[in-house]
Amino acid sequence: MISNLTKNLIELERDKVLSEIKERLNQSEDPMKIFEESKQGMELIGERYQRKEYFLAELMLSGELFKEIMELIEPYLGEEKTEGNNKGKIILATIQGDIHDLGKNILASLLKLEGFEVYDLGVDVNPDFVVEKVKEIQPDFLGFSSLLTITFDPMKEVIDKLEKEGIRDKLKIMVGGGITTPLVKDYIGADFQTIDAMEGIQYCLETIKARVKIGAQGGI
Amino acid sequence: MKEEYMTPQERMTAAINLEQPDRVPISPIVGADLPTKYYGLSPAEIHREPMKGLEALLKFFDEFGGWDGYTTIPLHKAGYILAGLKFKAPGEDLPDDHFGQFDEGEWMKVEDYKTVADIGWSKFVATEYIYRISDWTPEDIDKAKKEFFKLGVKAFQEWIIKRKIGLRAGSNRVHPFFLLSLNRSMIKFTQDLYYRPELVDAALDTMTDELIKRVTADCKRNGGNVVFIPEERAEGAIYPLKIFERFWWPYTKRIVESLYDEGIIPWLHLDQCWDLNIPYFKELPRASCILDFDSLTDIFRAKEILKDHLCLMSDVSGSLFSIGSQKQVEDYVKKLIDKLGVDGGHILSSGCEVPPNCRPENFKIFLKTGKTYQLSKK
Repeated sequence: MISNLTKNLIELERDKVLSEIKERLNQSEDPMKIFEESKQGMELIGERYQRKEYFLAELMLSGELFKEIMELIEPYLGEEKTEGNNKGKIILATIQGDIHDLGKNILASLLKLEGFEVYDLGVDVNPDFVVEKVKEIQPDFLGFSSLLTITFDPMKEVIDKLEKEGIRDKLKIMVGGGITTPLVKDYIGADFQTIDAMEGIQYCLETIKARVKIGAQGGI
Repeated sequence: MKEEYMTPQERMTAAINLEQPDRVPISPIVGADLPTKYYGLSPAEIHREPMKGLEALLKFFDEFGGWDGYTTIPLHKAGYILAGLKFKAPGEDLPDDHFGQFDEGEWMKVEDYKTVADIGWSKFVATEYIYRISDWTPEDIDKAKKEFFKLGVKAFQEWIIKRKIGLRAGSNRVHPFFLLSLNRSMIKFTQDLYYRPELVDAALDTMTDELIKRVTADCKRNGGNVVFIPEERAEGAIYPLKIFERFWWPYTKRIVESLYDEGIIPWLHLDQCWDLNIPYFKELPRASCILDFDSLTDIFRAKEILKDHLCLMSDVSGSLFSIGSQKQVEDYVKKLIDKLGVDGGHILSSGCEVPPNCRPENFKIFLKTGKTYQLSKK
């Protein structure tokens, strides 16, 4: 059984969702309950996307709507923390020579919704800066967004430098964007390539899940 | 090996009309970025002096033995700004060695839809919007228009008169849907499609009529019979069919049918994955347009669906050009020719623009295989 709020969120009824939340907050309802119902709506939207009933458009719209929901709820949360920002750390960057950021921004929003800690280095990022940030933040993932072929060599440069520093194997490296193919993944030395943001999310979730399982079995 | 017996013009026309050419016509999308990199020039310098970019492009064409179709003038800031697209240029907004790129943002506001619907895109840009997306003065605009015209005249003389290139693109217009998406930014535009559909519809309606009128006038003036119309935001990889059916397909159908009636062939440059949308194109008149894919659409499946109906322009990807081996390029070009070109209706091309870091040997083998493979089999 899903709540009215969850149902309206799934149907992307923006006005209905926001007015219901405002009303419930005014009536001093527990903000965590509203948060949980909203989170359930986002999960069900993700499932519709997996079943190909929803498209990137609906993911973008729901991501924006969820941001608006959080803006309403957060002042009421006080010391309470919304569950989740502990699934893993990820650095995102569009490398030197490329200023496109649409795909990267969509991925960043979706990763945050899934509870990942996202460090977005922006666009046209110098390869050495990426290496420095990896050393400093020690992320679980590094994700490159690419729309231009001239980014292939700078991305490769980052990965080669991480290899030299002996830290390449401590993280998984992903590359995505319309111009990327499995050939690009192999060329730059990444672990994963996709042109679908949700596939990227799934990869991160499965990698973390597998790592937790290995840890529980006494592995790394 | 058999000899060629068609001119580039005859070869391109045959393919578009779904007739058998002597060999597959070749029409890679080569802008100024590739020659700029190949000849070690500075992107900033080419931006400041686009005529030098055109010279580099012509030199590159001649050095590589030429091809049948597409040619252009170097895309530079003035071209984008005059069309109403914000642009970051090397040497101005980007470092000298960077290539220029479109600057997407929420430059256009919700209230602008009504203005566009009322007065049209061109007037909106000329009277108001151009000053929002640039720091130009009216004098700068006049100067840019004159330079742009000069460049166009030179390009016409060099490509059409001297080199007798086979594709007479008389106009170049971004699809109205794509134009709005780029200028509102994709997420805001998507919100408009879902939450303010009437505003978007009204603007698209005006812009569609405007595009048809302007392209027809352009082609009558310069004798061209093809219009390049890029679109990379309406496909099934992004939007469900209900959005495509309401906001893209009816307008596109109107554009293609109206221009085809005027003897003009729309060249729909469709980046990203259009697999879900391909069957709709069967509704268009036979041989009425060119569909140009960038390697994300399954072009072989598209051929099965649209066989003997529309001409397809193929899709050697930027990644294959830049990091693939010669053998990989050669094999893929052979596959394209074998599977797409049997009954005409195929123009061999790059998926989007050949990238600046294309390996020269890969471009050579692309052209060589395209020119010789089919003739060697006869």
